[in-house]
Amino acid sequence: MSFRFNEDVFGDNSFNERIREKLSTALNSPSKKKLDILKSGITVQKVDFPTIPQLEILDLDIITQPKSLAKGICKISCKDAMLRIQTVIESNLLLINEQDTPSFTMPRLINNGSFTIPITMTFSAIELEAITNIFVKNPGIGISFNDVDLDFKFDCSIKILQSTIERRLKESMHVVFKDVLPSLIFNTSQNWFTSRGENTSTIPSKKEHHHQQTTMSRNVILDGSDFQELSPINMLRLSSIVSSRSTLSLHSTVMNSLSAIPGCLERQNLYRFISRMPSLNNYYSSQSFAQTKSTNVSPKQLVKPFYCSHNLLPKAVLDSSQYDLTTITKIQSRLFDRSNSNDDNAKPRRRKIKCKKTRTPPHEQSQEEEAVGDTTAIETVTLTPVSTSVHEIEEQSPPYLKTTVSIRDKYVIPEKISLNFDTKKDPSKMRPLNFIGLNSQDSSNNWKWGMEESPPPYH
Amino acid sequence: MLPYMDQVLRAFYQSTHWSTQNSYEDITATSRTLLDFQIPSAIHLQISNRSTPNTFNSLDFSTRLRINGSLSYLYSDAQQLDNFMRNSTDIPLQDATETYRQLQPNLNFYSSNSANGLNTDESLLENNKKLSHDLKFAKKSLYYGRMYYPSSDLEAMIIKRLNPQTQLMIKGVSSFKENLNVLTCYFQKYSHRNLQEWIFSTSDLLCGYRILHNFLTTPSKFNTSLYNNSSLSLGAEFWLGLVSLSPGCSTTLRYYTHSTNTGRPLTLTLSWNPLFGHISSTYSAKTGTNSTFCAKYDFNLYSIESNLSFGCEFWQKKHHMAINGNNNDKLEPVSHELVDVNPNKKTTKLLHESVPNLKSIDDDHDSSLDIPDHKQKLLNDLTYAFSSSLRKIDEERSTIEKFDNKINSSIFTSVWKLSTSLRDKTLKLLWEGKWRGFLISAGTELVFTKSSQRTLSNDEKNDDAISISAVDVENSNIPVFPTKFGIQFQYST
Repeated sequence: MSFRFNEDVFGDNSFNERIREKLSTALNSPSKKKLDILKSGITVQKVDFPTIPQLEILDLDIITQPKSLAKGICKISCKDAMLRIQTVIESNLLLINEQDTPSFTMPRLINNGSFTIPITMTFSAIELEAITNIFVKNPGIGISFNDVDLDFKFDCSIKILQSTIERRLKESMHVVFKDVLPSLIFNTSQNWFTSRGENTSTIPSKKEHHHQQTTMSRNVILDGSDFQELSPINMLRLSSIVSSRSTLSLHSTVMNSLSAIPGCLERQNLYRFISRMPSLNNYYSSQSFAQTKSTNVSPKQLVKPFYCSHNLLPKAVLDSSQYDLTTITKIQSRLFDRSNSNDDNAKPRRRKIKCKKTRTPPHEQSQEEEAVGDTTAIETVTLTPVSTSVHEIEEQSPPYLKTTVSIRDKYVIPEKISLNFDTKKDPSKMRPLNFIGLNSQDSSNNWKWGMEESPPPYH
Repeated sequence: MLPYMDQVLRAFYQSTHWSTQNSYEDITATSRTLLDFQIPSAIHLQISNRSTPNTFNSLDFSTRLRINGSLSYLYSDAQQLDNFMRNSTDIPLQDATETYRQLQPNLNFYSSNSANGLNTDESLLENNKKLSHDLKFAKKSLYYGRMYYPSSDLEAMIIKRLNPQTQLMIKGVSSFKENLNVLTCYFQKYSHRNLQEWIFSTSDLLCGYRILHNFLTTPSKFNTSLYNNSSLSLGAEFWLGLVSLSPGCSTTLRYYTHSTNTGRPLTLTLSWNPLFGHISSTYSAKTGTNSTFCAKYDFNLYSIESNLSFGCEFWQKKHHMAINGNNNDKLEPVSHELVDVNPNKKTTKLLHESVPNLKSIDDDHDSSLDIPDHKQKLLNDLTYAFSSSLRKIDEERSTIEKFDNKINSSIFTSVWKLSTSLRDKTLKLLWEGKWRGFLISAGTELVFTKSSQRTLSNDEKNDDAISISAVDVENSNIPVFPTKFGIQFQYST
């Protein structure tokens, strides 16, 4: 993507002339409700922009959202501009009031004639400096002025009104930059986008001019059909730009950090993210691993339950009956707390089935330690056998793994995982617990992978 | 034509002895009625009725694009309203329309004179009547409401006489469509020579004060003055809109007199707006029984803009009612009933009416006093010397009276009104007349155009008008076209 800034447009005087025409037509537009005080049209006598307005691009983001094309932060500044407008006003305000009020209630005033005064207003030494956010979208250009620094000298032909008018102008300036100009630019850019083919030479206004420079690349509207017309080389370049965002950074390979880009969870880091989730499997696999380190447990055996059944007790733990109910309920309640983070008072409803069977209680002292010690250090140990099988699992993409993680502004550990425990805990035969809440239908809880909607180009 | 409700209002003022000619608002009424008369802008029909002696109602229709209408009710507890009200068949045309306002310079002359005891029998009678009225003053009030449809706007007015000197008037408009509610209060206080008004309006929180002062010299001076049939008034108004902080003020001088030779009234006004530099002077004269002329010159001190307006009325009379020619000492109105209907117009109560009758003075001297001969001779000389001038006054008075009576006794059938303005390049034409019990007024406003620009601005001014669109004007080369025309029928029983 490229653009040109055509300085020549500002070079000759025709630009000023064009602004003058545009301004006078805008000020005298018949659609606008004519004020009573104005007794004639507004004529723009003189417009002068002696220097080329400066446009400094501070930041440019090409693809941020599906339909937007470019997003950027610009600094616009122009200096020493001059503007002079002239009109005729009615100075007898009582007469205006008399015309507005029904004659029945209006007392008749003697010799209350109209008295019109020509007024000339000169704005000289206009200096504008503004930081703007520009969004180029499909139908038009959105712009917001964030940090406007406007200064001008005001000179009015009626001196008695000068201070009042100046004060009111400065009061209303923030409305102009907040409301009027953005909507004006959007509307004109809409016209420009649609009627671009017919008259590309017309430049709507001064502000608009900047945006034309910004979006000088002609084919700015990207549709599905446009993609076919794009050359594969360009697409390759684009994809390399996008992929460079992740590939250039070495953070993704660093351990203990879940994402290279803040707010993004990359797929290769998913298992680590999940491993931090409180679940029976995570807990007991690390525990059992530590305990059964000496025993011959194949990496497959460890990994499989890690991905396939998240909240299940590992078989080895069950066999060796190392679990205890308090730890399980603790994990359950933690899960429940995460899923119900909005209301703290909700208590997990458990169905308790008392079994007569006696079991030897598990080793509590070790569990206490391990429950707290759900650290990454242990994870790294577990990682080593896992790494081989990661891709295999990913490609299979089991249906229950359709968890989606949205991009947030900050990295947010997903809070809403609702787990419904099938609490019929038959001690002899423990049913697998299911993730139900992860496939939540609620759109607000919809977790998305970074590029799932628009697949990354390197696939 | 005066709307029916305005006639009722006028009758209310007459029955409650409230003078409208002392209001500053009406200080330029004569020139206004002659220059800026209202022209109906549609076909308009008004049917009015006095249902009971105290209630009046009126129904209006007008067709402009679609049928509009209004329904108005009025209730007043004033007595003898029916003495002052006429139906459209009986009402004289000069009462039914706004025309030259003849003033009564000595409105409160009698009351001030009564203390001196120098009054003729007639004035004493009048005075007694007035005094008695003041004594048994009852708080009369008037309630008026009007509803427009289909726009369902409401108008309401309450007038209350608080005491013989004060009057409170409240006017309100409520429009649902335009989301407009305006209430205006007037408090009017009439004292010996001036009328003060305090006004407050909720539109723009407008506050106003206006005063009219009548310069009246003392009755003793009037006796020696030859041309005492004049009145000089000075008024001023001050306004301030509190919301928009828009000030306004003006001051006006009015001089009303009669021509000494012909007895015809003439009015001069000079008003000045110090804020905006407007100066406007008018000269209105009733040149004959059937014609009135008015000229107005506007000038702005700051912008040096000027305007000259000219207006005239031509009355057509059916026949002249023969009146008895004895208008000497006894000033007898033509018919008492007519006087009651409109004392403003009928008989001008001139100041020198209070001049003692020459004969009665002589009689008094002869009978009651026993004066030595030389003194008597001196007295007689003096009397003779004065009597000539007094007779002259009588002659003048008689000419004035004659003229007034002539107008009042005439039965007019129709009147043409014309008004033109140089700067606006307009010509207004209005015909008003009576036809089979209907009061009809039909008129048009013509605009002389050179460029379409002016017509555009004029069209905007009277947007109510039925106007030719500007495109047509540009195409056609007609320099004159009507901006509004209309006809109005009034019938009342």
